[in-house]
Amino acid sequence: MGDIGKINDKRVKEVETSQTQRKRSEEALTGSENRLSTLMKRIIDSDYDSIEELVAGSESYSIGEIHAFLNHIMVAWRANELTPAAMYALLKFVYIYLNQPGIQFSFKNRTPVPICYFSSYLPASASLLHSYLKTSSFAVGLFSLGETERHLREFIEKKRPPVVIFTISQFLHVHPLTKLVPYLHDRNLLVIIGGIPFVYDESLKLAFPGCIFPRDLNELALLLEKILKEDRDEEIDCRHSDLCIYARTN
Amino acid sequence: MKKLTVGIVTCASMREQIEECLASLESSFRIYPIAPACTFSMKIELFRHYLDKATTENDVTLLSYGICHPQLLPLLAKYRNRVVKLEGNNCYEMFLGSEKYAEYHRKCYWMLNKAFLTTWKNELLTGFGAGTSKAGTLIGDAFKKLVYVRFDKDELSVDLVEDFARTVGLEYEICSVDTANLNRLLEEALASAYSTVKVKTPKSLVSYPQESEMRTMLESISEVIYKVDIHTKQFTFVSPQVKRILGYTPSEFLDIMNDYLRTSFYHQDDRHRVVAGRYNFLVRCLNEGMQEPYDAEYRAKHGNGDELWVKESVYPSYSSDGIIESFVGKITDITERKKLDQLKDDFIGLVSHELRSPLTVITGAVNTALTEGARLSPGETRQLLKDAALEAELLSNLLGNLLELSRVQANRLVLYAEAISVKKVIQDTVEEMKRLSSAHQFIVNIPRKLPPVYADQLRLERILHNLLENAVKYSPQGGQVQVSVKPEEEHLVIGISDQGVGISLSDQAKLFEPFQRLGQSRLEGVRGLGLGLLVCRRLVEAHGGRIWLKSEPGRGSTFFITMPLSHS
Repeated sequence: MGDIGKINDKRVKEVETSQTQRKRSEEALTGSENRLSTLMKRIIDSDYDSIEELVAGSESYSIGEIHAFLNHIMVAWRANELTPAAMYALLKFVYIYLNQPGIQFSFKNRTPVPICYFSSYLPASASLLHSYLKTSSFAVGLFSLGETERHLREFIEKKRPPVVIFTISQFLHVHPLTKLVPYLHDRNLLVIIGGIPFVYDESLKLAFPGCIFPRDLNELALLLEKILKEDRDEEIDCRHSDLCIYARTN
Repeated sequence: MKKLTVGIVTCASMREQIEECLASLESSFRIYPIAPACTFSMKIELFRHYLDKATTENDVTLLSYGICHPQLLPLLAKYRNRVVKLEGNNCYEMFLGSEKYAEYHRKCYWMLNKAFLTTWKNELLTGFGAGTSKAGTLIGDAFKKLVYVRFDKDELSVDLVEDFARTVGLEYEICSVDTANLNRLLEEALASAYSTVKVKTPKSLVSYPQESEMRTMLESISEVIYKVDIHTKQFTFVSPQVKRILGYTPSEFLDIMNDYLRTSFYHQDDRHRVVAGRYNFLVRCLNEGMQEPYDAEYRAKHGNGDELWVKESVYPSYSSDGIIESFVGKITDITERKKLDQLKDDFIGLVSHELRSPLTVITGAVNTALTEGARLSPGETRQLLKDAALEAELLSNLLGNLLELSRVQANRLVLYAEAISVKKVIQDTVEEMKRLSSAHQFIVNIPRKLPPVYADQLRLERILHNLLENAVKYSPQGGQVQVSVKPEEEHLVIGISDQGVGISLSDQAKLFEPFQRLGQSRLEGVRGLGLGLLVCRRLVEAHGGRIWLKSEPGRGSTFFITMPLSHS
C-alpha cells in the first residue's frame, strides 16, 4: 500500500498542477469578463448624452471582446436586467466604438451585405445587427428606407450583393416590405427578415414566401457564412466608414 | 333576443376611452383592464386569467389590446370563436386610425396619451432613462417630437405635458382626437362577436346545489379566502375554512392580520418580507395598475402552535367598469409539499454523491494504472483494477435500482416470467455477494427438492441482491447472513436474516416507502440511496408476491419475500 500511497500522492500533485493551469486560464478569461462587466457598468452609470466622450476615453478592446460584450448585452436584456435606455446606450457605445478610425477589420466578404430598416432613425435592432455581424467579420452596410428605397436599389444594381437583410421594428413596416421583396427576388437575391412583428405574429411570415427567417443572430451568422462562401476567396481589409456611405439619409 | 352581456378585456391605457364608447351602446358591459405590455414585463398567464374570467362571466368577449406581447396571438388562437380582437396593432393605431398613426411614426413622433403621462409617467421615464441627464440617447436619437394624443374628456393640464416634454428634452404638440375610430372598431368587433356567439345552456336546466350541499362544498375547499379593503388596506373578510386550515376563528384571524405589530402568525424571518411585499403590491395595483398576482410562500404559525408552510396569492378584484373595488387573497397550506420538496432535494444531493463516489475511485484507479503501469508490480495493478471493477459493479447496481424504480413509477415495468429454479438463483447471488464482501459468513438453507417458481430471473436476482446487500451493510464484520427457503402451498417463502442493528417498530412501518432512509439518521459509513427495499417491494408485488420483515433493535432482522410457484 505504501507504493500505491506514493503513486497516489504523485497523482494528486499532477492533478493539482493541471488544476492550477486551468485556474490560470480561467483567471485570464475572468479578467476579460471583468473588463467587460466594468465597461457595462460604466456605460450604464454614465450620462447617456456623452457616449462619444465615453468611447474616446475608453480602454482599447479587441473585436472578440466587443463581440462578447454584445452577447453580454443580449443576455442581460433577456434577463430583464436592462432598461431600454441602458440597452440603447450600450449599443450606441459599441456602434461608435466600432466606427473609430483606428479600428481595423478583416472581412469575409467583399460586397457589404445591406442591413435595411424602414425607420427614419437607427433602431436598436439594426444597430445590434450591424455591430454583431461586423464583429463576426462580415462586411455590412446600413440602409435606412424611411424616406426612400432609391439608394438601396442603386446599390443592388451596382454591387449585386448576394443577400439583403431586413430588420422590421414596427407592424406598419411590414407592408412596404411586401412591396419591395418581389423586386429583390427578381434579381435573384436572398432575402433574410427578422424583427419584433414576426416574433409577435408568426403568421406574417406567410406574406413572404421564399424569404428566410433566422431564429437568432447566431443562426443568421451561420447562414451568412454559408451564403457568402463563394465570396470568400480573398480576404480584404477595409474600414467601416467606406461601407457606411449608404446609411442614414436623414 | 335576450340582452347579451359583453366582457371587454382592454389595455388599461385605453380604459377611459372604452368606457366612453360603451356609454352609447345598448348591451350590458363589464371591463377587465390589463396593464400595458409595451411598458411592463408581463406574463402571458395574466392575459389567460382575464380572458378566462371574461369568457366565463359573459356571453361574448372582446379584446381591446394591441399585439404588444409575443405570446398574445398564440394565446388568442386558443380562444377562437370565444374572443374577438379589435382591429389594430397598438393603442394609437386604434385611436388615430392606421394612416394618421403611420404619418406620426414616419415623422418619428412619440405618441403618448393621458394614462402614460400620468399613471405610468415614472415607469416610462425610468425606461427611457429620462428624468435624469440620461434622456438623450434613446429619446433624442429615436424621436423628433412628443405628441400628446388628447381626448375631449381628458382633464390633463397642458403644464403637465409641457413639463414631461421638458424632462425628456423634446418639443411637443397636441393632437386632439375623439373616440370615433375606436368606436367604429368596437362596433365591428361586437357585430363579429354577436354573429359567432353560441347559445348557452338556459339557466333553468342548470342544477344548483342545495344550501346544505353548498355548505359541504365550501367546507371541503382547501383554501382560506380573504378580502382586503382598498382604502384602509385592512382585512375585512375571511372564509370560515380559516379555522380548519390555520386553526384560528375568523375574528381571531382578522385581528392578527390587521395588527401589523403582532408577530404571532408569521415566522419572524418571513414576517417583514410578506407584510411589506403584500402592502407594496396593493399600493402598486392602486397607483400603477399592476395586476400580476402577488405570490409568497412563507412559514406561519397554526392556531395550535405548530409551524406551517403556506402559499399566499393576492390579486385585485374589479367592478363592472374596470375599477379596483377590493383585493382578494387566498392562503393554502403547503406544508406537505414543502416536506416532499425537501426530501427530493436531499435525495438528489444523495444521488449525486453516491454516483460520484464510485466514479472517483474508478477514475483514480484506472488513471494510476495507466500512468504508473510500468512502475507498478502485477499485484498492485491487479488490486487497482479490482477496486475499479468492484466500484463499477456497485455503480451498476445503483443505476439498476434507479432505472427499475423509474420504470415502475412510469408503469413501464414488463416482467419476463418463466419457470425457474430458485436454488440456482440464490446460489449465484450468494456467490456474487461473497466476492463483494469476504468479511461476512453466508449460510444457505435450501431443501433438496424445490418446485420451480414463476418469476423473471433477472428481477429475482435484483431482489435477492438488494436484500443480501442490505444484510451485509447493516451486519458487523464477521457476522452471519443466512438465506432460507420454505415451500408453501401456492408459493415459496425466502427469508434473509442478518445479525445487524435491527429496526424499531416505528421505523419498520416507513421502511418500504420512498426516500425513507433520508428521514432516519444515516449510519456511519453505510453507502447507498435507500432505494433497495423500495425496489424490492415493487418487484415482489409485480410478481404477485409479498415482502415483510421481523426485527427487533439489537437482535438483527429477517426479511421475507414470497414468489408464486410455477404450477400455481
